[in-house]
Amino acid sequence: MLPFSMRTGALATALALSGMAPVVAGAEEADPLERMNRSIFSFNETVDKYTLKPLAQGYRYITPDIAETAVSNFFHNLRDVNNLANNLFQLKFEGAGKSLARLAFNSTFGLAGFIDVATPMGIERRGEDFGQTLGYWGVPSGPYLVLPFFGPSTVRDGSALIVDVNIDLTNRIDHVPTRNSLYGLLLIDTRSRLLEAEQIVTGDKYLFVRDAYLQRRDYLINDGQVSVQYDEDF
Amino acid sequence: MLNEGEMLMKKSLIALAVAGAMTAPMIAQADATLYGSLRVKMVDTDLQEMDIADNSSRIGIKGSSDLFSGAKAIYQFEQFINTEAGAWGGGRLAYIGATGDFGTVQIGRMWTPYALWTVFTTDIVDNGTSGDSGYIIGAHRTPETLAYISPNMGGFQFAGAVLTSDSDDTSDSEVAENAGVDVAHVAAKFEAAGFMGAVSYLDYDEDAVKFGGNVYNDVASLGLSYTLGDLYLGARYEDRDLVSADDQDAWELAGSYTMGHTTLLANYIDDDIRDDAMWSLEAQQKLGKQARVFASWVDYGDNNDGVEVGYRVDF
Repeated sequence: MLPFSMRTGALATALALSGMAPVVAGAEEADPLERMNRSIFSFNETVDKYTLKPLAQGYRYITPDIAETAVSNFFHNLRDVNNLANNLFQLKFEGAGKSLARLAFNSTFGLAGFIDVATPMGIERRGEDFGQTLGYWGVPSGPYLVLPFFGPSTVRDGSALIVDVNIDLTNRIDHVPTRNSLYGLLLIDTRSRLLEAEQIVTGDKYLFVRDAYLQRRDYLINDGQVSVQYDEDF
Repeated sequence: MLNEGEMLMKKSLIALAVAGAMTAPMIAQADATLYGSLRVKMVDTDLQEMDIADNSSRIGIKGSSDLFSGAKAIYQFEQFINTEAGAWGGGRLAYIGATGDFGTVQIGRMWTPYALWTVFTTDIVDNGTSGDSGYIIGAHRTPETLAYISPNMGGFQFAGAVLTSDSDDTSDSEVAENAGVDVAHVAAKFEAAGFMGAVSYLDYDEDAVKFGGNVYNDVASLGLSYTLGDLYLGARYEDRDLVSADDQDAWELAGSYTMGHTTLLANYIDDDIRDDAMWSLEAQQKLGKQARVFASWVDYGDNNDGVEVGYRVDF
């Protein structure tokens, strides 16, 4: 579920970069597993086309916007537990503190997280995951990797998922039907938020998603301090 | 330093004074500040399910005026406000005094140096666990008190206070001997480079039932705090020598870290008067200069834990 939210970000970045030439230099070194990745990618596309996308569109159609926002807020609030842990792992104590404050206010004043009161109160989100933690401590990302169902990732970020899933509160729910329903809802919520973004994808979709994902990860791990030279593109 | 609200209040009091003295020449300027803090919380713990409760609201008047000598006369009067009943809830402070190069002398009902220098080092959270063991002996705000607090001498300050009442529990023949000082209090503190250390001692006359002299022989306490930028750490230790029971020890730890308008706080209280320790974890958020909210997880011990959230507006 994690890369889906990343994909949101990736596509958002892509939106900002659309119209610019994709950064292709050194792409082959970054993607030695391209053949395998492409076949998993097309498998994912098929699964998405016949199940996830129609489900997300249906969800979008029948659910009022305010309820969609509430559902997204609820899952974002749970994510703040992971953000808290990963900020701590990266010794970012202010980010950890803000994540804890967000949890405290959104879980109480925000009625179990359905309303994001912390953002208008001035406590911004400090998103961090374990892949970013590994990146922060210098672990190289390894080759680009497309995971079945989960989508774009790298060897490092894909492995890091196991840690994030274990921290995640949803995973701790003992009642299996509840847990699985929540996972299902999270999946549909995340996919539905991608419906608009995906319209901007042009050309080779595989390359587009890959480049957008890798740039977005670089951006996140460096907290927005990216060394990419954009001036050549203008 | 007056804040914005106090300035406004001051202005309106001046306007009132002007209006009231239309014909008379304006001689004195009203220099009183009306202030207050209204605090309401919502508690949901094992023993208190979904309760909207007052959280120590108060309204007061304070001010000062120049004395011919160059010193200042000071006064303060502060009442509890019960936001549940919507009514005055009793007295908190009522004292007058003088302050100058010589220090400060106060008489009336006031915060004791015991509270100011030791209890307040750990009384920092907004939830109900705050400073709990510092309020058990009841010497934090005392009536019928005469106190002297020295000026700050290179970081060092000391204080002495006496509490006296005419309601001693003595037979007539003993009054002459016992109607003296009921509680004697001395305290000292030292502050330097973010570090603060304070000691306090209260000695009770056994006849001073009104102040708890029938319960305590004496109470000694120690307060420590350290401030480093946005980080604050406080510790407190108290030793109570009881008249007819075993001595009690109490200690508290508290800390806070501030990030802009957000503050995270935690405290831990272990007092012999309770079987279990208490602790809490709290987030506070300033919504404006004079309004803030808090949300906390509280554990009162004895299987009583839960959530407290609250809102407070100052003026």
